[in-house]
Amino acid sequence: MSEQTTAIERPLSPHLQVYRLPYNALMSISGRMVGIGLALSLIVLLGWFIAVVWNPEFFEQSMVFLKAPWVKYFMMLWAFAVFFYIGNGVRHVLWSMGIGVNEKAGIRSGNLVLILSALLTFLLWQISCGCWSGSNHYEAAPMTSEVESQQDWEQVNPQWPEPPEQSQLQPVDGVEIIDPVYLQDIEVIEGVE
Amino acid sequence: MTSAKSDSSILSDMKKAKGLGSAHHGAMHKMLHDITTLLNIPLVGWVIYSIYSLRDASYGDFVTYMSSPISIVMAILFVVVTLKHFALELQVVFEDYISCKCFRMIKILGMKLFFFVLGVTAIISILKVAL
Repeated sequence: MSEQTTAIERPLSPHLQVYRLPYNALMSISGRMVGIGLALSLIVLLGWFIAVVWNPEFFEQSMVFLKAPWVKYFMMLWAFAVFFYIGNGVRHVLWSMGIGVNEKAGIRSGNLVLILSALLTFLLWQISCGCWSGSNHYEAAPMTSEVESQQDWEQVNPQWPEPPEQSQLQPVDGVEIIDPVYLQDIEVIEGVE
Repeated sequence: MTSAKSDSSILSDMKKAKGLGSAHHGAMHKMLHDITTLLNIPLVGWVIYSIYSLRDASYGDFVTYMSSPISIVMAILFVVVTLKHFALELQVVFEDYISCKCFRMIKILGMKLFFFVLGVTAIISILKVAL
């Protein structure tokens, strides 16, 4: 088909390295990256489902992991990504119908998508942590899930902060052994061994 | 390619435009991508609601929830629609960012095969836990 197959080494003008991405380009590339992340998360979700169905013991095992405190923050981040991605997708649908295809409308709809997904995530956060009703469904198991502050942690873990390590030295009759842990508190007196 | 020029009068604009893109068959790809985007709105909403409902569930609650007819239908539709959507999405990503055409089609086909196997396994799992 093409006669000229030899590659001519032409200089490439610098683009992405020196170019500050405008708002619409940033939204575009972030939408695509979020899409890749959500595709991976879908694989994880379906993998979890398949694993749970074929090995029911995995359900309780995974629930122990899923009740860790950071998981709900991660889930909120995931929900934000989902809302953002779907909002972006709707924007693309409207664009393919010829609606809002110019720079200013793109900025406006992009802002709308960001605000809407933040609002929806906030709403979901409020609902799922039960802030409005005053009840918290994580209260049943404070040890593993809802340890928000140092005070809460001390209440559920009375031994916090951890006691100093027990001395490995065994006491001998008539000799008082100074625990090495406390040696640092004793001032060294010159001439005394 | 020259046929579009010679008999132009009887052809619709759509017919003339078809096959002229760089990929020669992009219209259906874009249409399916858009349709699955819109279908995903209720389906993903249902999945988020399900995760919220099952946050403290035992395995028995999970089985009971997944056994309801609405759950079966929504779950199967979710699996099919999202996997189709992301297969299309990732195909574009592969085409855009893998400049080396060596094995590019194999990578795309491999991704689609993986999604197909994942989808079939997920649907069988939905039916197994529900029925």
